[in-house]
Amino acid sequence: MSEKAVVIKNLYKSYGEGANKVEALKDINIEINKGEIYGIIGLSGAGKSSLVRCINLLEVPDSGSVLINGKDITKISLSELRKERKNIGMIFQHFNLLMNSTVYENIAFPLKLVKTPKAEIEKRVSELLEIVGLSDKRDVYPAQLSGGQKQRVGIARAIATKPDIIMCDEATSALDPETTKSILDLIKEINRTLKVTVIVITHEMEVIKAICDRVTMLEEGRIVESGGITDIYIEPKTDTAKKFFKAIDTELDNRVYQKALKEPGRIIKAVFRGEGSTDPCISNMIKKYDVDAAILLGNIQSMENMLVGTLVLRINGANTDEAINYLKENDVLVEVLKNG
Amino acid sequence: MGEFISESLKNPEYWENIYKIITPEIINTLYMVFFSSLISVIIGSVAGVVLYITQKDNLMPNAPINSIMGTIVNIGRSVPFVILMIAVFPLARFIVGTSIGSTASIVPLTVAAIPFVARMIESSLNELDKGVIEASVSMGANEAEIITKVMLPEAAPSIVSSITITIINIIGYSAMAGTIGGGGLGDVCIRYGYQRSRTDILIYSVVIMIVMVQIIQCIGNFLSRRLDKR
Repeated sequence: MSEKAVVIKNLYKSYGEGANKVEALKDINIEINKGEIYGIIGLSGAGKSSLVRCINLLEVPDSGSVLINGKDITKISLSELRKERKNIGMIFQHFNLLMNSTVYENIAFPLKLVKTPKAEIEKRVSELLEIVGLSDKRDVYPAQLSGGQKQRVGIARAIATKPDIIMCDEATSALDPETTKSILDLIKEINRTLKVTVIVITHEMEVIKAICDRVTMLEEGRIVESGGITDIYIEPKTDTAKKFFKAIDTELDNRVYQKALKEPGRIIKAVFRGEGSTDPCISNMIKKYDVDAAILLGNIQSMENMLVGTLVLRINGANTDEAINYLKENDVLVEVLKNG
Repeated sequence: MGEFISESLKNPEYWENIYKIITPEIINTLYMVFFSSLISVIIGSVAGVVLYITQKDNLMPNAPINSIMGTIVNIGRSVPFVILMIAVFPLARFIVGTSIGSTASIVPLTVAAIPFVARMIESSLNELDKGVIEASVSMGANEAEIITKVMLPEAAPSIVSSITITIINIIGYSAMAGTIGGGGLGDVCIRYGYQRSRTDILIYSVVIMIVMVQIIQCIGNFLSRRLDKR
């Protein structure tokens, strides 16, 4: 796992010149492990698309290096770069299929580019159609497919030449929630079964949460936060990270909060992680320290590799300090929102 | 007068005469249109592709080539065809050895059509979704592969429409070439319809040209629709 599929070092990218110069990416450093699903999240204009295009050099960075499997692709010839690109599949928001070619021809396209013999193409495309569940759509044109089916063709095309890395550029942003889920499941399955490294670019936290192991957050061309997905969720260090999770974390209903503020006791936010989430530590706390606990808000998030529960409680009683310490001892993250 | 016309319409000799006058010129027209379309589409397509890919932010951006070619195309398109025809007489004489007749007319027709085809192909390619091209680049395709396997097939329906318009334009121009001794149906119109006041022959010639245009437009529409899978 320690081997790196992609290493980006001190990468800068700008567009335009003089007064119109826009710095799209500033000092980007990312290391992506082989076999993981790595998320890059940011609002539109944050530089995600530029970043992903710098990984296969569709955009040439101003400075810095991009190492694919240890090889710096900013320093190789164009023909070598084309060979490298065949090792990096790409999936697009708007699918970018050949509209005048059938599903079969679309998937066969990258295979033809590497001069695969016809019989082998035939066999490989049938396999791929099987993987993405479109065997019955072999000779259909993309216009006759739904968005989700088009993206499946895009995925089949991206993995046709058995690349080590696939990049998904807002791959689900044009799809409805249900289709999004099925596409994400497919990407995850491909990641597991084919051991391919996946880079996911998105503005949707849901996507990151559903499939990513680790994530980098971009804001105005800079990395504001990087790390394991649950770590960032539980302890976001920056406002940007908090902003992203706000959409997921149900906001505390203001009326409930105002009312609770007037009542005695402390208001705390307790975050439970992983397996421990099923332990009855709240009820233990109540019994042990003789405090009252009113639940103002509760929710559970399922992440790629664990469950995260959040409770907002109003605790009242003589031993609230001890009660809060007890929670902390039990590996619960506590944030005091209002001191009693 | 009316009686005279209806009498002659019943006369087989009349029709035989018309047939003798018009048929060779239909063939001449088709001959001119076919070869000048063929050559101008080949050369014009190459020029159109170059105009397209040398655009800013395209496959092979090259501002000098793009603007030089653009200027040449614009000049070619702004010279009136009648003037162009006379201007390329020396060229026609150099290439085919004469400046009169159908073969000689192919030269000005081709020269006039090339810049037109170039712009038409360019604008067909402009309609392409840039995303597909980006996807091909990301798959490691080289320029030649992108042009032949992505750009041209994807733009095919629009290119067919462009070629249809070109051929129809060339039919019109070929009639003009006929007026200065280029042969073809335009020549018939001038020699018989105008100079000998044979309005009947003029009408037949025009009707035949209308039919030609209709047939080509229909074939063009049919092919374009067949190729379009969007």
